[in-house]
Amino acid sequence: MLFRARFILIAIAVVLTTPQTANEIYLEGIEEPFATIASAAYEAALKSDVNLSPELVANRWGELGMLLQAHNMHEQSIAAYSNALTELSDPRWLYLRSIAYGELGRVGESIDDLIVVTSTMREVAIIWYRLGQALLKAGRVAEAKEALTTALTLDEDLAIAHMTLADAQILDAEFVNAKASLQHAYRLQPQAGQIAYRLASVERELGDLNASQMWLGRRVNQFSPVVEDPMLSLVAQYSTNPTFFISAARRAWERGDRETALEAYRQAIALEPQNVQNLIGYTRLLTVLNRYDEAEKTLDTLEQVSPNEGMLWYFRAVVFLEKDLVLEAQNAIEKAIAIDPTPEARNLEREIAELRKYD
Amino acid sequence: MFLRVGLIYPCSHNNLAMTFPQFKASLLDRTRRVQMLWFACAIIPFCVNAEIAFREVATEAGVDFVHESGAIGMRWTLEITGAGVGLLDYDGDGKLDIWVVQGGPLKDRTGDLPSDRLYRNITEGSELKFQDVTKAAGLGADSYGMGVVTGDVDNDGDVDVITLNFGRNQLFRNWGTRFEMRVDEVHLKRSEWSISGSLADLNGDGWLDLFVANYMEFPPLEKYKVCRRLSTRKGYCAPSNFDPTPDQLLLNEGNGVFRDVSKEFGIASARERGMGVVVDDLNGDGVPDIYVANDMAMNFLWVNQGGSQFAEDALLSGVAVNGHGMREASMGVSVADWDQDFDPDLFLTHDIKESNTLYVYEHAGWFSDQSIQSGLAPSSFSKTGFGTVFFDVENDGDLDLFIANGSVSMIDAQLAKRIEPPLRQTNQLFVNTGAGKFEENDATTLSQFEDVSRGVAMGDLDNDGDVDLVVSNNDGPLRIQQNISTSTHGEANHWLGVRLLTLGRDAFGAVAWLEGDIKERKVVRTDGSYASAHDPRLIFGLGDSATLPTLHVKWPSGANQTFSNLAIDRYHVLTQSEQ
Repeated sequence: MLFRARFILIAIAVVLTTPQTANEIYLEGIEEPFATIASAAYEAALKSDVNLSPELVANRWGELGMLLQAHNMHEQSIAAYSNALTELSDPRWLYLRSIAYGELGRVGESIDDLIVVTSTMREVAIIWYRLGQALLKAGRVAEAKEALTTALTLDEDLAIAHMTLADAQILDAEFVNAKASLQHAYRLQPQAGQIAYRLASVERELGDLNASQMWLGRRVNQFSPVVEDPMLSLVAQYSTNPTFFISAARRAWERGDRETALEAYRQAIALEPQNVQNLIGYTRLLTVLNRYDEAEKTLDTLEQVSPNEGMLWYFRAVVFLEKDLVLEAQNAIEKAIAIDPTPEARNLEREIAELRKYD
Repeated sequence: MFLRVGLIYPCSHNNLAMTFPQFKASLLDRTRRVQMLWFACAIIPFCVNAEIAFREVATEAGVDFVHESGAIGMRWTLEITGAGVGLLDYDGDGKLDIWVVQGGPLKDRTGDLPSDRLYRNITEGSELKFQDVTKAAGLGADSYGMGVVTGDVDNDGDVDVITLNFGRNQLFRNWGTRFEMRVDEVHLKRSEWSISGSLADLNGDGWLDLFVANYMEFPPLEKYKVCRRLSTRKGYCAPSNFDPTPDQLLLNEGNGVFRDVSKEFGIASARERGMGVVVDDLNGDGVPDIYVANDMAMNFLWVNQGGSQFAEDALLSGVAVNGHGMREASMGVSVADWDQDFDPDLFLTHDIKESNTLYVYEHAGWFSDQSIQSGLAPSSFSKTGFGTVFFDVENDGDLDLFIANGSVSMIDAQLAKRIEPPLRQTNQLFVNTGAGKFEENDATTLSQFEDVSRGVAMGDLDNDGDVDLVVSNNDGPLRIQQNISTSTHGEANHWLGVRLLTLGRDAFGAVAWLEGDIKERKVVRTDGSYASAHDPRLIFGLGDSATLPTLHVKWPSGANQTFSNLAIDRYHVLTQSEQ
């Protein structure tokens, strides 16, 4: 009821305040190839044929918004989404704009958009979760609980919604309920360190210091539960920057999602095949996962790109060693050390020398 | 907590000196709109209910300082971290002087370099006036400055100064009216990137020891690689691109001769990117502990193990990460008994998208994150906070909060308008409602300027009993915000000011409180905020109570003393009695 009333008010406000001219998108200073891609998308949206349907024009602005959002240009993505919404009130653009607002800490505007989105996309749990989270940040605890409960009604396995509901319960000093919510979240995603930390806090509030200590010990990282968000995944696909995928790979690796990490590296290498560091990073992951054949192929590529790279010969040595080719490994590590005598290479050299004693 | 009646814009007769054409032309400007309301105050009776008000007086007070970051478009992270400001009575005339930290060029630091500046307070009456005495006082502080620490390191009764720099830190010994820079004797020779520091007697020997929060390694400029975020626009590299450096604990072995005991005392066992520091008894065991605000890392709580060892205990104490278990980009820190339950609470400022965090002391040395409950979180997500101070803005008896903001990520809207540095934000004042919450008040000159604020120091510059603020801005002018707040009756609230002395110097670490139902714990200190140093005097806001108060003091030695029937609306110098 509360949301519906707000939605009507905001909907009226959107209509009344809709700008008649497009918001300018500031693209100066960005690097190629993204500069060309973004400029072309901007031009296309700006010069949309008058005969195009509002939906198509809105899509052009919306896609530009996604492109910009994928590159962390949140201020500009907000402008692009706003232009899209001028053409057509599409909840997709409102939703993505709400996330961009959130990235800039503009919580109130994020909430306004999310309220409208939840009124039209009532069945999507993740959107209700995001609304609940934003409301909580704004200190609107009762409304946050309502939104999070709705999210969990739609998807009871949404660990992050359980955890955020617990946050709301903690603010209301409902520690027993919070503990139950967190335990539920922990059962779903035990690898998320934030759940364990909150459980430690709640146990402390409940007076069980031993349990608190135990949960603190289980806080192995500071990650939140993983959120599967199809819309944001779509945004990610608009990235043309390998750094985006490298960050994604690191995050995936840290939470133990190895296949995602490898896939993210592959995306980065596809975008920037000459990037030595990405090739080395990918090789490192492959060797850790004992996927030596794939590692060797990557090293072949790396050798073509940069034959005098110390890490190329270091990993060659690692692969040779795995194949029991000790002499070849020794030659490779000597090359590696001649180029860059890193401690890692020196250690491997010692290891190989030990093995050579038994030849 | 006062009734807020009608407009709360401040009345100030000093702002009436505007011609009608100027007044008319100013209508489109927000600043001028506020002034217009001041003008209206002269003729509209209900405006006398105005209470919280400040005047920005730097220029008219004779302070022309402008910070130079050395930025030349290369986006060196170093250029956006400085600098702070200190308030100290260096010449012992009872008036607070201002020490402003300067940066200068980064690329070529040869030739005639700009120095830190010292402004002597020559105020007579209520109109603030300062005189630049930098040369006369022998400053010559020409390092690339970050922060300033104040305190009497040789117990000779005057305030010495330690400047924290990118490079070697410096001790300025005060010989009454002149400073002498001393480096060699004080083991400040290590070349680090230091930002904030604290002087406190950590081992109870009567000499003030020095803790320095060091930030991180920074490569030679010629090797610096510009960072491009996912936007692929050139920007400032995040701290995670650089290795952290350990903080330093320097033990005062007498007369301001320091010895580095970081390893020996356990401080060097952990390293992160330190930006802010406060010293206080944070676990109730009666001895001072050290709290360090770390950038993009868990914060440190160094628990004093008897004056010769410190153990890091932030995680168990609930102050390493926020209530969600996430480390944040901590910059500034302030400690005070915000909820008046006679224990210290901590407030930390953070980057955008993170909230500022209020850690409230619960019991037995642990804290809980009450950022949302207190009302401080919601409006902090869109700002990047640095310096911060708890202070009683209108002397109504409870603590309010000021936050100096300035982004570290470039703001597109400002870039597009060619604004340099494109990091400007407004500062924030939060007023204590008295019901466990703060409310933002953006109607004063404190929130008027879009600057890249970094440090803020508090102190009573005009000795009228209320706290004035001095805000330092990266690549911008120093702001002197004179507090002209009044009560709901149009008069200033009553107050009691004390300077507590022991061993011939300010009694850092002494705890004082007024007799009564509410016991707010106030501590003599100059540390806290970001890279800045405060007035060590304590001011107790008394509201409209004219009763002569009784003050209790627990001296750093552990001795207690009571001072009864103190006259109000004036300062007292109270010295520890020999017992």
